[in-house]
Amino acid sequence: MSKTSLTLPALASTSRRQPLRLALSPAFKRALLGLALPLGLLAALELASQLGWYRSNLLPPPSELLGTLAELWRQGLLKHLVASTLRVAVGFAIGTAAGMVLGGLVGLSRRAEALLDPSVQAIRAIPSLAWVPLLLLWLGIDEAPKIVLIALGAFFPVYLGLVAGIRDVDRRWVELGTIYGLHGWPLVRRILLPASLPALFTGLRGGLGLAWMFMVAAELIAATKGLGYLLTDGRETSRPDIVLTAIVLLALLGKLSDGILKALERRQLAWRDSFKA
Amino acid sequence: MTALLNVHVEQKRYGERTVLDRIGFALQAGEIVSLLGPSGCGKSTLLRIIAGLEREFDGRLALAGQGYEGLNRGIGFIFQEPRLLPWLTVAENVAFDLGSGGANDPRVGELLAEVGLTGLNNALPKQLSGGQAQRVAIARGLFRHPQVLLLDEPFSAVDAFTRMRLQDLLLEVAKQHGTTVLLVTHDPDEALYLSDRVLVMSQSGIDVELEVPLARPRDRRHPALSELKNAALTALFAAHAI
Repeated sequence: MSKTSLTLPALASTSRRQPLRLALSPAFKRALLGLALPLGLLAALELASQLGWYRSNLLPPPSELLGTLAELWRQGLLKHLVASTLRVAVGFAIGTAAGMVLGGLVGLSRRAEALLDPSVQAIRAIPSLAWVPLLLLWLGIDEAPKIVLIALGAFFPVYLGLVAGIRDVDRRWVELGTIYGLHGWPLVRRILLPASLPALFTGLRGGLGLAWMFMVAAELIAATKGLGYLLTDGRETSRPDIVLTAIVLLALLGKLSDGILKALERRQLAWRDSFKA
Repeated sequence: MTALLNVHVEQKRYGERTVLDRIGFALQAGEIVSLLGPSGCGKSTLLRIIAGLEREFDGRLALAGQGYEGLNRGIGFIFQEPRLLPWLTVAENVAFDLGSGGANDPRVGELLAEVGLTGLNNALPKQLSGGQAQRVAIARGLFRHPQVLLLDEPFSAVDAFTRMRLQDLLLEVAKQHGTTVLLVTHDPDEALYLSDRVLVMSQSGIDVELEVPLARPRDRRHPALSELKNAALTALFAAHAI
């Protein structure tokens, strides 16, 4: 009797430790799976270039890009990264704030919708890059036109997300709020905003993606620093390796910033009872 | 003795259609009364009028002798589905009346214990079964100390066995809190098992009032319940409701 009770905990502790290591692996495996395609492609590219299957002056192999990255780093790559990231951060913040204020107004008030929504939709119909010449004329070629363009890009997805989110709130939840005597701001804060959070996050992530896109557009046109400037510089000096390095850096920054939003979303929306494959 | 709740609806219309026409009844304190009838007879509308959710009607409502219009804190409402807010924990849902921070109110734990959900304070609604969610809804309904608790087909979405357990739970908490209960249902067995009185309703109004003179706890197999069920069915048949 005492013998079994001595051996059992020992068995349990070893068998508990083993699955712990295995328990981490599904997420790790998924990450590996996601990396398989790009890494495989890079390896194939490297191999093809080493074997001389193609002339690498237009499509430099990954090893050369690493060299370019080191060279750019020595020449002050950080300055470009910081410049672009700051522009996106400031533009996204402004666009998001405006989108949330106007989206909230239009979502909550039919009168505000009648007043504002037609104009917003009309402006949305203009391809945003069409603003560039006007912004340059009005605001010069400094930071201001770039920030405004980025904010414009971020604005619409956030606006549309919040309006749709508020409009889709389940009528029955609003009725519950009514029974508890909620109206006006308390109803907004306790029912309408939490309920429209999923749609708002979709809008925020879309807006962030567009903010990066418009940052590149703005920097391609007129900039002395930033990743967009690197792209132009690489083209003008016939350096596809610089262009490709800048593209890869843009991809990494975009993915990183979206990852931050996604983590925030997962934390805020942990209550959602949604499909998980 | 004056009644706790007095209901008189002269007329309730949706556009051209008259849904309720001269319906009136009273609830004594501590009573459990059911409105039994088929879909579309206006019984849910009547309940929503009493709750203050439907304000456009001709008639009078009074709680404890005081006439009222619209919402009334003395009247609690439990919906057909639990209607918990998915972003709030169980405790926050129960204490919804208090707003943020209400989850720490000591009454949350007491009520959860009463409905048999001790320890689930921090669970999210998505983790609950249908029966558990409806128990949380009952706890939330009781949190405001309502004098009258209105229930709109509250157990129609759960399986038969869960339903019986929830019915017993309702009787228990109503007794515990001295709550007067008005329940809308389309299930004759449920109405007769739970109630002191059953108001059988059809499009034409309240056709019959059945007294259930059985002490609680009741035996679901009691022959008197079957006889009363026959009477209810006869009344519904006579009103062309079935």
